Amino acid sequence: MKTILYEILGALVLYGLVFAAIWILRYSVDPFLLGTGLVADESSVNNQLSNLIDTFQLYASIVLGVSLVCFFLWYLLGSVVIRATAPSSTWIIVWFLFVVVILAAAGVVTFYSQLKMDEITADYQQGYVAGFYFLFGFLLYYLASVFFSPLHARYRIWPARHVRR
Amino acid sequence: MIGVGGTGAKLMQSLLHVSAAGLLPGNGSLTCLLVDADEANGNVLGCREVFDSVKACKSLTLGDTTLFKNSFSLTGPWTPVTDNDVQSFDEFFQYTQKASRGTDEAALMELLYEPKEREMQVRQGFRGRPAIGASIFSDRIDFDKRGDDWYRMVDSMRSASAGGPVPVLFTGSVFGGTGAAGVPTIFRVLDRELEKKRVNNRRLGLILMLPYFTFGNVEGEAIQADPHSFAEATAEALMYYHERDFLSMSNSMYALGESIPARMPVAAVGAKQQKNPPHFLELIAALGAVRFYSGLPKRGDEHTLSIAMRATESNLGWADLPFEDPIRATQIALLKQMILFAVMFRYVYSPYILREAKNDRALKGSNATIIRKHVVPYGVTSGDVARDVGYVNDYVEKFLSWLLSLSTSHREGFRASLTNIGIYAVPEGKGWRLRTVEEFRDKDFDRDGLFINDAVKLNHSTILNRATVMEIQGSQPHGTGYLVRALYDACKLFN
Repeated sequence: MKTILYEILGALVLYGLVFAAIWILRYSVDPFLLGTGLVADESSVNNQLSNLIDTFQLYASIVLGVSLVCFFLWYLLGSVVIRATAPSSTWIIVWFLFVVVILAAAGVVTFYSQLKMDEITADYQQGYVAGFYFLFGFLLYYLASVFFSPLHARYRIWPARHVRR
Repeated sequence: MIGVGGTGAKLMQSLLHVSAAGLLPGNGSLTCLLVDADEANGNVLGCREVFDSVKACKSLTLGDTTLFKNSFSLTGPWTPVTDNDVQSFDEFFQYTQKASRGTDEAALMELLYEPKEREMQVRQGFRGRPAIGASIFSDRIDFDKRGDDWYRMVDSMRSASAGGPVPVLFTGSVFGGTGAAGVPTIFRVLDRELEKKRVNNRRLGLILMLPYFTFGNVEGEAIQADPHSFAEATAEALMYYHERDFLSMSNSMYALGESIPARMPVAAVGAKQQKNPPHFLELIAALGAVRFYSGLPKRGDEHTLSIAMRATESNLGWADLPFEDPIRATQIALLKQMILFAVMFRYVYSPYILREAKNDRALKGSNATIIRKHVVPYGVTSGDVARDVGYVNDYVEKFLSWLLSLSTSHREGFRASLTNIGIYAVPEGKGWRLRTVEEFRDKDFDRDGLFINDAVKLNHSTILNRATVMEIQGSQPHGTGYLVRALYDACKLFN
């Protein structure tokens, strides 16, 4: 029970840190830009950059939310649905199915976020944003799986066997 | 322990199973000797097979555990008729030569035995003629012949007597041939020998099986044990034990019987065809042996009459098993732990582990938590796993077959309500057989529960989880012993 609690809390903390970072980014950008003097008045910040950040924050949160839900589904399936004695391939297939879900979510989010950002950002900037969605959605799921997978999946994801006890 | 005849061998087999479950007290070793005129008797061979299987499992270092904790040595079957040329009682005592010389011995033989009995084959037992067997046994047992089983046995008893009381238990039937002849004869001659050797701290016990099974006639055999005469033979045998004062000579005497005997499916006068399926009464007898080796009844209670019986005639439940009260809960828990371990090991653990460790590469690369925790750190190769898991698998199969048989080999209308046999067995023909691994349904196991009327609802995943995170307590196992030990400890039902 203690281990389960540790794993769930651990995953929540991991995702929580990134959510917090996005929120900190959101509320530190406006004062930062105003402080630099590059942006003269608050209305221009609100109109352009702030909208961009808002959009980014919303869609990044959606991707991370999907990633977190996928991790918990992986945890739930690994704890009570998949047989502990199931072959290695079953575990890997299920894990990759969630990767596909996360990447699909990132794809959809990228599509909608580009619709909103199209006028105010360059293509390469949109590429960065899309990269963030894909990378962080997957990366958090991967890291959570490595460090906080349930008992019988504890060592299934490389390099968990080298980093977990 | 001296097991005489086919029934003695069956009781020894039951004792091997209950001791594998850790029911015997302490960590001492048990020296067993099988006695049978028929070396190839199926019951004797069955007992040897179980012994060999337990011995193989004993090669695993399991640390501080009740599983396979006692050491056993099994010799025999010692057979009184060793000369291949001797086929009949007449030949054994050279009746023809004695009769031609007109000796008193020949006349006595004619007086005591019918010609048919004297001509009866004695290499496959005594076919319900204990008088024949008694003469042969008393003639052949020689305690002074170095290297002989009897010499070694008495020698080991003499050595053991320096360390405390020496319990010696005799088991066999009173209604057949070999047991009925051998048990009282061997008891008396051995008691006399131990008296002579000053083994004064000996404790002698008897487990006497009264009729509890029956069988049909064996085609083409003129002389054979007749189940219809069992009751009469039993009454005479018990009278004999009473008149010869065995109650005074022994410290404990257990007599077990069944009012309506079970019909044994295979009827044979001897050889490997004479292999009767285990019966629940043999479990009760084994528990009697456990009681005897536990030193019960205690000093001062020598003249105690204990009676074990079922609450309902047509049903045997856990509450009917005659355990002593202070240790009752522990003993039942140990037996249940062994049953649970056997089912889990055969159907869940071993196929999983053998798949994960099918070769060294697979073993090293396995990401299964149980393998990474209980196998990889201990430098075990896939060959070690295959061998040791194979040993345990072989034993648990024998254990489950025994359990299944004692749960089913009885008359119609009787129910042995110990385990849900449908979990690990399926009906086949008129009987039952163990399920194959592929036929096992873990959902049935989780839904129906392994033990009947058990408050604890077992779940195979919970047990597997427990095994995976198990931390071994006490002295440490070695090699594959870690894994087996973790799997066994996970089946413990309560502390």
